[in-house]
Amino acid sequence: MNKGYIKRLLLFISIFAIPLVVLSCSDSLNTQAGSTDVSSKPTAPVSISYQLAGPVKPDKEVTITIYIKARADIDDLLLRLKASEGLDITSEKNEIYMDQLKRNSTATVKIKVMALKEGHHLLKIILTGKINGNTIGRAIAIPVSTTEAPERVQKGAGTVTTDSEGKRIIIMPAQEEGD
Amino acid sequence: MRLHAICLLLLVVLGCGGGGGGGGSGGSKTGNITISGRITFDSVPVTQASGLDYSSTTQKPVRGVVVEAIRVSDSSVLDSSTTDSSGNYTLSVPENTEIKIRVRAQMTRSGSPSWDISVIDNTQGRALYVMDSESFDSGSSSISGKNLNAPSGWGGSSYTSTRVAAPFAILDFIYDALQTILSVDPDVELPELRINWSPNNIPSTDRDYSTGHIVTTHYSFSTGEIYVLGDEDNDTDEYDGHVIVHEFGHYLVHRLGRTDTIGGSHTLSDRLDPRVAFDEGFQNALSAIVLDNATYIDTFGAKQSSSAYMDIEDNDFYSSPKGWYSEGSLQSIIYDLYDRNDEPNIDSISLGFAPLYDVMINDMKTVQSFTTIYSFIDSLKRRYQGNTSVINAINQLLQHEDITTQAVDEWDSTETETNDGGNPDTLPVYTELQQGAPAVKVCTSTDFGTPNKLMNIRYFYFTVNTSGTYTIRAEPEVAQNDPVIALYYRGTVLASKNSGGDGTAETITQELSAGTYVGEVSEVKILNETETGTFCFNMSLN
Repeated sequence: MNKGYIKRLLLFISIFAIPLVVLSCSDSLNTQAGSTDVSSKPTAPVSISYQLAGPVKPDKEVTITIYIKARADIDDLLLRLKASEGLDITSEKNEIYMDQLKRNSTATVKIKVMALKEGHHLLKIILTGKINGNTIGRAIAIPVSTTEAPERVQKGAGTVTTDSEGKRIIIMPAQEEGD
Repeated sequence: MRLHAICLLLLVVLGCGGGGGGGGSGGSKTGNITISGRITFDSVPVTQASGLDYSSTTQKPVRGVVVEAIRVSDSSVLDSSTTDSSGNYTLSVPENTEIKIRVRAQMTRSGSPSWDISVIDNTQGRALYVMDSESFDSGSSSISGKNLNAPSGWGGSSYTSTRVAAPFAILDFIYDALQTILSVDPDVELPELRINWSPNNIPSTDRDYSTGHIVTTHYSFSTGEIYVLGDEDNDTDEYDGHVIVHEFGHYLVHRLGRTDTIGGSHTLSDRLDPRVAFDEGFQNALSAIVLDNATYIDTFGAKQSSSAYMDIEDNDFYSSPKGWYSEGSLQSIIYDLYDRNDEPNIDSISLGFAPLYDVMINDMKTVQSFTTIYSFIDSLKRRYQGNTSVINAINQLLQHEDITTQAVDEWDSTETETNDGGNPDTLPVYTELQQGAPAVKVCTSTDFGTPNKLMNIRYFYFTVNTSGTYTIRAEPEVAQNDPVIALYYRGTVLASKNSGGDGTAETITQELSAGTYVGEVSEVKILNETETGTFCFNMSLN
């Protein structure tokens, strides 16, 4: 049973500014100073972090504070919110518009949500804006798990089984002529 | 008479059916028949203005993937083949057998060239995606036109059925990348590649592959695999070809060539660590080269109807800075080196892909400095030594992006670079240490942000003419500074050190052969992102 405990958290997690801590305490070999182990797709010049005031329980409203830090001057900043099934957004608006966010400045947005049932829910945030008239965008999914959420069971795109060599496969149905 | 009739009837019955099969082309061996057809997938185009255009979906061939005939009774593989460039396949199966056709999301070839690339679901125990037909009886005549399509799953306003096309869409872009590589390296032997995609792959804030928390589409240096977002109405990347090829490029350079990038997030607005800027710029350019489209598009949002895009060729796009630390500058240089689209006073060169690939995959493996635009251009110019028009054209591109054209080597050892990004302490790019000489001040800074930005880590280098034991020292300029240093030889880390605290010098004492070495110095507080500011060190070699 996955008891997703959400205590009062201060999560200044900058999604795409993961702390780089690769240190050696001796003469032993080590990876590069300050390296991460991933190279990702180009992203918009904006960092999104959040603070969830928990615990999360069904039918109890909680506040999520979103921090948006611009790494360039961004115009027409728009936040669109979408909740996964089982989660309600109880704030007044599902779309929040900010005229402009200057480079190195941070905007704060408070959103209220309510879990309708036990489970692992997601608050999805789609942020768009413009730089020199060109659209930029960033999407994130904030986990909102209730304290008594059952173990996560995820369904894939197909039926999982094994092939004749015992290797795991996920079977998807073909569309055949005449279908 | 009656007996004759019965015998005649028996002869008629026994003479019917069985044997060589009427109609069709017949089996390839006795008792076998041939099944052939075409495999396609729903290809949804990306648009610059409004994300994925489902209304313009077309069926494109699934190229170069494994197709199998499966005996239903025991799931054994009766025959296996590979689709051709038009998606066609042919299989030989026993007559009168209950079978199904299985299309694996896998491209594989052994020998030379070779590859093994597949799409798996990281949230379902790394299961390989396959697409199966309905079961059917193979009968006694060959079957043609057994065509199968992988549908997108789009129901008009949302995904309403299995997103069968997604793994094949990803492989379609990889196929294009493969063809580009094969055109210049026909004997390439690629290491195994697993590409992880799932509708459960979300842009999370934490990373846990088994639950689909992948943060964003990326290549992992530690697993050697690619992870692709599939989160409907938020961010999906299976149809974003430039994104897929960009990540494939990271795999290619990491596994086949060499990159010294420290990874992390990056945008066109950033002034990046030069290794990051170069690696990311190269992969952006690669995506444009492979797809023959300089407009990089990344779709996202509700109904996948939003697009963020950038013009790889035009670095006056966006508010991208110009310089040796700018992903935007470097992507446009690389692309302009390649393309035939000359621009007056900027781009008068069209090298094609071959020399760029050769430098990236071969020459860069042995550069003594780090893999940056300097080492790339130095290697490229060496290939065209004496060719004044090519050298001049390369310099023209550099000049347009405010990068020195006078660097005499990969270190810019004569310090001709003048673009300091707005902070004079950025230069020189590499600080040379000389044995026994007075210490040289090198400063790191958070001026341009963290954690993989310009000046977070500074570079030094030195040459020793004889084998021996040498000591590199980083002395904090003030008591609050806490250095980290690392030493490399041609991309391989030899040692790194951070054992003291604030105000404590760090030293690396190492047995070295004669040669040239490169190193990094940085400040712990910058790496930990606990403080901002400028942190300087006095570097020496003894």
